[in-house]
Amino acid sequence: MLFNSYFFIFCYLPVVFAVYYFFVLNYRLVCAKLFLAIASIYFYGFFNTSYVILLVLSIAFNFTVGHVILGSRDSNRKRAIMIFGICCNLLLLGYYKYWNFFLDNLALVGPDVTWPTIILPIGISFFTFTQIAYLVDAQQDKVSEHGLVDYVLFVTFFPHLIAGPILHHSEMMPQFTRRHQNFRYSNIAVGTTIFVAGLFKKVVIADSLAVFATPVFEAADAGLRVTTVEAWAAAVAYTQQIYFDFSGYSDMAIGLARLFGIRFPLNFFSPHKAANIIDFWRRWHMTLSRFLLHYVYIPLGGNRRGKTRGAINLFLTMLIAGIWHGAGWTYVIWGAMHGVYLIVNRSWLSFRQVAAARLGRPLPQIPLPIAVLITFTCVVFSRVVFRAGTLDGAMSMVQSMLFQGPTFPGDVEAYTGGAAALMKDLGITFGAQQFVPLRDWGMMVATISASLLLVWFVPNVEQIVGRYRPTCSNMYWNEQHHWRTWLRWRVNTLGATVTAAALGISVLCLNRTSEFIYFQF
Amino acid sequence: MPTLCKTYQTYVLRIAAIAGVILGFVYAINYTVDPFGYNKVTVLELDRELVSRPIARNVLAAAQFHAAEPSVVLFGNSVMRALPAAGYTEGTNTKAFNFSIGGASLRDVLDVIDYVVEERPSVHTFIIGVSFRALDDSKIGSNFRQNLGVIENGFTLNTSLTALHASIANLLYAVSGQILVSDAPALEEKAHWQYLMRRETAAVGSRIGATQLNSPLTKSNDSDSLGW
Repeated sequence: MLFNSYFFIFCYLPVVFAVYYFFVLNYRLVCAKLFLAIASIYFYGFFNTSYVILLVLSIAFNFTVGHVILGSRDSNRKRAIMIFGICCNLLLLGYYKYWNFFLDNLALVGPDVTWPTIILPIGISFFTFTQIAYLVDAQQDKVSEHGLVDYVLFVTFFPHLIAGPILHHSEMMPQFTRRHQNFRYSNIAVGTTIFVAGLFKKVVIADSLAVFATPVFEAADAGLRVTTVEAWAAAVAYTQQIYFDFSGYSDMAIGLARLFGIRFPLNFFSPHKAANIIDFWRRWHMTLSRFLLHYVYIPLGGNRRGKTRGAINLFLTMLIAGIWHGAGWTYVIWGAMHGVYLIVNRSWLSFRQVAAARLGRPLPQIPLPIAVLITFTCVVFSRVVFRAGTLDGAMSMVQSMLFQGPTFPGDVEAYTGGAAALMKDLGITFGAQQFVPLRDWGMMVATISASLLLVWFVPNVEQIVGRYRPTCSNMYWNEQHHWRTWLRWRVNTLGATVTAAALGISVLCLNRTSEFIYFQF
Repeated sequence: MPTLCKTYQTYVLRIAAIAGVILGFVYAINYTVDPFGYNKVTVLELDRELVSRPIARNVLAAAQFHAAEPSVVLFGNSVMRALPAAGYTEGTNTKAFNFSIGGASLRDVLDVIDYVVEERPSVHTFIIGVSFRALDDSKIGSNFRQNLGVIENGFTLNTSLTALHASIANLLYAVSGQILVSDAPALEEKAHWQYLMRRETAAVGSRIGATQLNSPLTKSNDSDSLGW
């Protein structure tokens, strides 16, 4: 069941919402939470019923292991049990997500082992990581006692179950109390507004961008040569698409959770406004970055053992981030690229510090627009590798973008008339195959430009709705004050009209339902 | 506090009301202009570009397929469409339907065949026309399967930006005295035959190897008798 489907919006959500608050207002809170957990498992089963058992077993296993750790007083025993629990989780993840990939690669160098194709259980990376964090924190005595229902709800709560945000029990468990769960119109107002904003981002913006990215990447994957213009347009369109798709999903998740009185952590904060890659990772998929920092990078040693070791740890962490996204070499290379980006960024900062110390004054800053543009370009190249279905496809796209000289489809030559000769003099070649019809180029330029203006010059949803504390994160709240007052959302007729119009337009676009990109991870 | 609560309550109700009015308006205008739901398929030749052409063709073809209840189905691309199924029906006393999709590759044809097998298992004869263009995998397909989603849900059909766009256009046509899109099937057929005659592509149909359709092919040259 997709958030952007008629069934979810007009059937599942209203029913679950009504029944949940019926229980909250008339019966014990535990009944309401139990109902919500069952409804969430039904939501998961809607994708593939066979994997509900897997989810339930995973929860039962981790809950049991967590309680054994909590009940143990011997730190060595705690640690051993935690390692056992993590290994089991990783084995589960490894089997379902990476086993086929492993066999495919094994076949290239050794025996060709026949194994039935394993269908990836949706959301397995998310609920496995959530529970690994729980086990680690239980071992470090950061987890307080809690009941089974709370734990099941923490893992399965449907807004985050499929594609995050990756939750931390310490920010969720305290919210499963009567104080937070009471029926409040404010929660409905704020939740609905954020949900609608996310829905709009997904079905109106992201899906419109996909039209211009998908055919070009598919052509590159099929071994066809793509023109320079289309390659760049597709790369930027996909970079924008994945941002609006995933941040739209996160906004929808935050809004849905708020309907039930729960505040999720912030997952995006205008990542394409980042002035460097370090800043980008502070703003992009923030809950994954947090997980990687606390449960991978720091346990590896962080930067406590010198700069070289710190760089290696950083690279390894990003490599794991890449592998986490999917079983494929393109994801590994994407992770490696970001590892290198981060190392270069860090080295640059160190160089600036050293140079400033020697000169006795700070080096001049790179102008912000240029810094943002450089960062964005780096992200675009990494997205090309991320999106490409094959390594050859990725190489073909990069080659089209950088090394084949400017090329245009043959139709452009006829369209430009006399200007074509001038363009040829400038080294532009015509005649290549075309994957986005020429009649759609106007719309392509308009859509991509509008999306860039949105991400660079407009505050994000969390800033617009910031005064109503939409999330449980507070690191960026101060930034909302930089924006003009009239951009801030208000509970009035204008706010309701804008939200309703966005909802109406989004619903009108639902007939082209497509899955969220991050569902596959 | 009660005042604040009331403000939020009013806000939520306003969102529901305004969104309801917007969707209701769209649904109403679509239903008024096009009660049969052909709005998804703007088939008038003059406003073909108003909506996605593949969607128009595919959805209409599927709707006509259900209405025809055939036992024999012809598949292929626009070349195959030159064969009139009505001639086959006359010649063999077996209900035939031409489910050829303009611009279809062989992959699209397979999608259509799957669809027919699922929807109407009683179809016993499948005639597949293959032209050289259908073997070109590099071109963008007709996305038959994807487009069909829109006919499976009446709400989806009538409540979409595309349908609204076409509805308003058709409303303007109606106001200006032109033909409403609710005559879509006939107009589609007419437009198609006009296209065939203009391009003289009817003869191309003879190359596709469906040898049992000799008599129906003559119908393409007999268009005057249809009153066009």
